[in-house]
Amino acid sequence: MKRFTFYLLVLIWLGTACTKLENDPTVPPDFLGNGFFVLNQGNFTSGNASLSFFSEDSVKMINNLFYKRNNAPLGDVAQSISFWDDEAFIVVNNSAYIYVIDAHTGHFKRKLTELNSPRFIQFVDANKAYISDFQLKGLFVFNPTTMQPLGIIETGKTTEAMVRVDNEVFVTNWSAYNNKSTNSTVQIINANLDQLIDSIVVAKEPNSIVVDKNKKIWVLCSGGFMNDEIPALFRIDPSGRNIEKRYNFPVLESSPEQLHINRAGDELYYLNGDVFNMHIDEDQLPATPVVRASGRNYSALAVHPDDQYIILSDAGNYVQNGWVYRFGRDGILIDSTQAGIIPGYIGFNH
Amino acid sequence: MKCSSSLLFSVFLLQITFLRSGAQSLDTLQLQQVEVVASSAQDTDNLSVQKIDQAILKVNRINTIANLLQQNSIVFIKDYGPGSLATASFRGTTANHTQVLWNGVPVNAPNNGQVDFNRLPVFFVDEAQLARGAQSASQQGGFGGLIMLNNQSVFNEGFQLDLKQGVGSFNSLGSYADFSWSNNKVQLRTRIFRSSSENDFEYLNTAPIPAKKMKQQQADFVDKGVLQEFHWQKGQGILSFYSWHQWNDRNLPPIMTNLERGGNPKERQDDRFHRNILSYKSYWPKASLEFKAAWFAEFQNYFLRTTSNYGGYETVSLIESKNNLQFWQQEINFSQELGKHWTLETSTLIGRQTAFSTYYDSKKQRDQLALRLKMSYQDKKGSLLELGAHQDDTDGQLMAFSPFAHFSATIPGTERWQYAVGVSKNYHAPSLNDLYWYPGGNQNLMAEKALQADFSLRHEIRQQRYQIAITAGLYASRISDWIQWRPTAYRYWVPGNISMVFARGAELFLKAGFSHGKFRHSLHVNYAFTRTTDESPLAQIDNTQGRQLIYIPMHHANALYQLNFNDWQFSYTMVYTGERNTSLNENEFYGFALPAYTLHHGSLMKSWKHFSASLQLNNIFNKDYQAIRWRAMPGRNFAIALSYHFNSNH
Repeated sequence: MKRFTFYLLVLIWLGTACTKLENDPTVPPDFLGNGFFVLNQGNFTSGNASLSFFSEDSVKMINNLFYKRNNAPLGDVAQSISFWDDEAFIVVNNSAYIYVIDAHTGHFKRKLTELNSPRFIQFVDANKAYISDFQLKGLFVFNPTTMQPLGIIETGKTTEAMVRVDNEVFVTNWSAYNNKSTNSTVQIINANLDQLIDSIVVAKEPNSIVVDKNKKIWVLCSGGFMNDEIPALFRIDPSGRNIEKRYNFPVLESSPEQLHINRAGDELYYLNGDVFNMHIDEDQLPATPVVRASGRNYSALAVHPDDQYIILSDAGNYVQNGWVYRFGRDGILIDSTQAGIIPGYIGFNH
Repeated sequence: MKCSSSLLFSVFLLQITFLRSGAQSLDTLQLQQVEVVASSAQDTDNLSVQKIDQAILKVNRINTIANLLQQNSIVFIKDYGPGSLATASFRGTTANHTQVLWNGVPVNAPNNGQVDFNRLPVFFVDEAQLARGAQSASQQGGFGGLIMLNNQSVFNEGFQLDLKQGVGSFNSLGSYADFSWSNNKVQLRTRIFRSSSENDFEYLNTAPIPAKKMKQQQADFVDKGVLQEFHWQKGQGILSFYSWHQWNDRNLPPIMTNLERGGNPKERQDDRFHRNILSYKSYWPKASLEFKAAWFAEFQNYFLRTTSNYGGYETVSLIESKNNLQFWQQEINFSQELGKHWTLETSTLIGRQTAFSTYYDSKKQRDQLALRLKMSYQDKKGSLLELGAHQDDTDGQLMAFSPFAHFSATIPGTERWQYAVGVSKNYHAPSLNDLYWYPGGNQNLMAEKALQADFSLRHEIRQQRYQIAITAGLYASRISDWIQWRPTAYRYWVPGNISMVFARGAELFLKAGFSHGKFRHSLHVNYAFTRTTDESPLAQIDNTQGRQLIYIPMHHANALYQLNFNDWQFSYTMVYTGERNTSLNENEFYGFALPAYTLHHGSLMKSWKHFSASLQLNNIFNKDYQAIRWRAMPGRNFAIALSYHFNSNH
């Protein structure tokens, strides 16, 4: 009987002794200072997206900032971050909402929910902004100040990256998901009328779009995720709505993405495994990268507003924390630091 | 390729020849009695096979196999919530490495290699066993172990009727009926059930800002099933037919972070399966011969539709995917005693898996041919040596030769101390999804390979008023070419033979019973310590070497206390699930580890002649927990069941 009692006690101990509490995250200083946010996508349906902030003052990365500030997860698949005044608008794709935070502290301010599959935001003014959507064949219109929905602009195609030139917004049709229309166009929206007015055929999967100092639009097309077409970079004249230049990539199997431009609007950067940089007046695509991949799996790119350095994120194996690298414009590594799972978007708060 | 098939086919023919000669030499013998009923509930487990007690099966008769295993075994159930998917894994492996046999035939879906244990009712099972280590190596892929669910034939029992009606929280209803008739030659048995729940339990959702109490949405389900058995005993043989059909319809709830989606998303899955087994087993005094044919069909339909809250866009997103899976298998099993101590067992099987899927570019098919051999030696003292191997051929290609050896004996000089050692080598073929899923499927995948060793020790204490049996075990397995799906830059996932996993751990089983007066107490405890890590060079590069793989708790335990007094029975269950990694990262992020939790359940049952009634209280302390990150789980809930049992012989 004594032995039986002993075993019973061991059992009770086993049942109670191993409980652990949740980790208590350390809270960063309230004012973040100047720097850039790194939006970590997380894994689809895992709800493990997160927000990191790299402080240029302390040269340190604060990971999991959103949870530390607001005691709530960021959501499921964080897609993009856009800025208006002193606020950052975070689009969380699979949770289908937008969280607005203070761009200098990270504190939650307000939200817009009940979306379908939001991707990016293009501001028209303080009272109107567009949201592109992976599923919806149109653009969602809302008031970024009040977060009131204003309606939908029907486009007949799903929508992705956007830029605004004067009073027109140029939208890429990147995804073929649930979509019988071709995903090789750039559509033009009149931002006064909130209407589709025209479209331009480029190549398959136009994934990113920028506007240069001459108000020319640059569109990068991957050629399709199954390498259906030769990838290409296009220069479009927005006033004539015509293609001025087409730069074909030499390899069908390549998949260029993440087209960015510096604040001066004269230097283009994009990812094609390695990182490439070309001046807007070049006649050919660059053959030599400015930063080599060297085994890294670059997923996002950004250029410092003052052209001081290039930032690259490395998604690694997609299931554990990725990394963020800072490179000088000469391609020399400055430093690197860990971020969250699949760091997929970078945005400066200044 | 042709050569390997021919080789196996030659062995198959040789076996038939041997069987014929063996049978001819034996068929003039007369059997006094045919023993076809499996061991009774009082049988103790052996060192590598755990049999769930009949008393436990009885208490859980209207539960799912997922609940049964979660509360009464070392199997870890990865539970996505009531009515949702529940998969089983043990010994540091995944659900794909747990082979599930129904009356000896694997029921793992050929497309994903898994079984949803929330769809399997205990009501359809007469015997549940778990084989670990070398004992599980007789089947390809059972790296963690085998879960064996069997039906038993019983003769001369007359007419029996068993009716059960359950009602519980969240509009849960369960109706169960079991009709059986048997004489000394024939048994007919029909079981039917219908189980449903709204599953609209309330919980605190900490994902949105601000956190709020919510009701679980879109988690309702309806499961219906029928199991028909026919057994005909004639002379020295028995013909059996099992036919199991089920219709499972369920909505799929979104995770807690995704409850503010627009477009009124509707996501559901409707599954149907039909499983049929026909077997004939003939017995001689020292031999048996069994022919078995199985035909399974499974249909999985997934549906997702979203709309828009704004005009002009009725359907924004629509997915309707269908999987149509067929499986047939024929096997011949032969057992022959050779002399006083040796027994030879052979098994030859031929099978085919066929799959149509929205996500395959065409119909896919896989042909299998397998030969299994086992020699066992047992002496008078109970020492047992088993040596065996299986050699499979898949689509004309010889798979890895898979031998195993197991030895158990009483420690010399003792009566109540036993030990067992086992080693085995096994392989696990990629699932059809691994090979053919579009996009991402990888037809260059190799089979996973495992090398395993285990040791266990058992001690029994038997006194007049109490008995205690403790089994403790250690195991280690090295699994190379472990298949892992990883996302790629092209936004779809691709499987690869990426990892080299080292799984090791310790297990403890305690079974105790004692009585005083009219009170009978029993206690069952299961505990598993599991360390499972990726030791591949890639893990070294990723800096994840030595970290516990995701969703495998290091500690997992359960304990069941039962008290019987006259016609009353009281049960109390504790289930402890240790911390689980949800990622291989190691930092302060809340999302990377799920905290440990302990659940307490209790039940009280009273019997009167033909009737019995039970009250079950689950999650007594209303524990707020997540088994899978951001999957809502219910708090305290109850179920009441009324039963009627009739037996014409009593």
